[in-house]
Amino acid sequence: MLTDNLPSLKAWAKGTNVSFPVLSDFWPHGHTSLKYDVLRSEGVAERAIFVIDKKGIIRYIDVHDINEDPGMNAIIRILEEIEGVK
Amino acid sequence: MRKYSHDSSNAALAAWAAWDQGKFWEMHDLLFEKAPELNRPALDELARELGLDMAKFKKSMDNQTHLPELQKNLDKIHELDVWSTPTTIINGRIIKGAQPYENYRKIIEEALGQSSQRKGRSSILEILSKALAPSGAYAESKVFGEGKVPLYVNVPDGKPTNEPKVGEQAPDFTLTSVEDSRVTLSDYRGKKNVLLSFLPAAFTPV
Repeated sequence: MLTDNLPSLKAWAKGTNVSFPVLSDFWPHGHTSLKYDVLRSEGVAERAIFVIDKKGIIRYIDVHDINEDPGMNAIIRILEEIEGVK
Repeated sequence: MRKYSHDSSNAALAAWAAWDQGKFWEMHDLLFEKAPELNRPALDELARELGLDMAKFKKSMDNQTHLPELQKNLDKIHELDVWSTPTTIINGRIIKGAQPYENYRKIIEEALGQSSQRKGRSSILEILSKALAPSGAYAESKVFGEGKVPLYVNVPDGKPTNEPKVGEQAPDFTLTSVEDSRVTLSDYRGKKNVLLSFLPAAFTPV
């Protein structure tokens, strides 16, 4: 989810081959990012990850340094935990 | 609270009470839809319609929890002497009330003429993007152009009080995807786990 408008996101998503819905939080600007308390004062979202289980409960929150790649390990671990794989 | 009816004060408090539960805009839209039928029972009904926690909502309304914020906005309105809907500010000029299109056009063209003559003036696009940026929405006031006219956007300031926490219900939302479909978080309930990834901007790493 990003606070960019749809035309920019479409251009970007085309080039990245993502397989999940890319959502625009452009109008009312940053409204959903704000609900999750990850809207920065300059109007863009933090680099943040939320894992939400099937009951709609937040199971994991990671607000990352905006310039860093958060990596996948922690997310995989929490998803395994939710699904009872381990 | 002169010049404002009791109902509109209560409606504003209801919007703030909804804000506490992450439903400010939803309440905002309903209030405009249902106006002027906005007495207290009607407001309770709207809160119910939005699925708000009624105990919290009623407590907030009964205690007038957000009266200080409302009063702050009203004080600002007094200070700026802005009472007309709509009031438009173009390059520091205040235009009160709905004017014929021709008036706006003249004022905008004058402003554009000035900006092309002066170096360092903000372009209309810059002014608009500043006006739309959320920082503008939370700021106490924002100075535009050389007229130094503070712009006041009637959105509660500060952060929502319902900062999401692990173990709590995730705030619901509906947004448009790049495939132009509407995606609602609660549609996944009972079906799938959801990984929600917020990114600062397109063309940065996912």
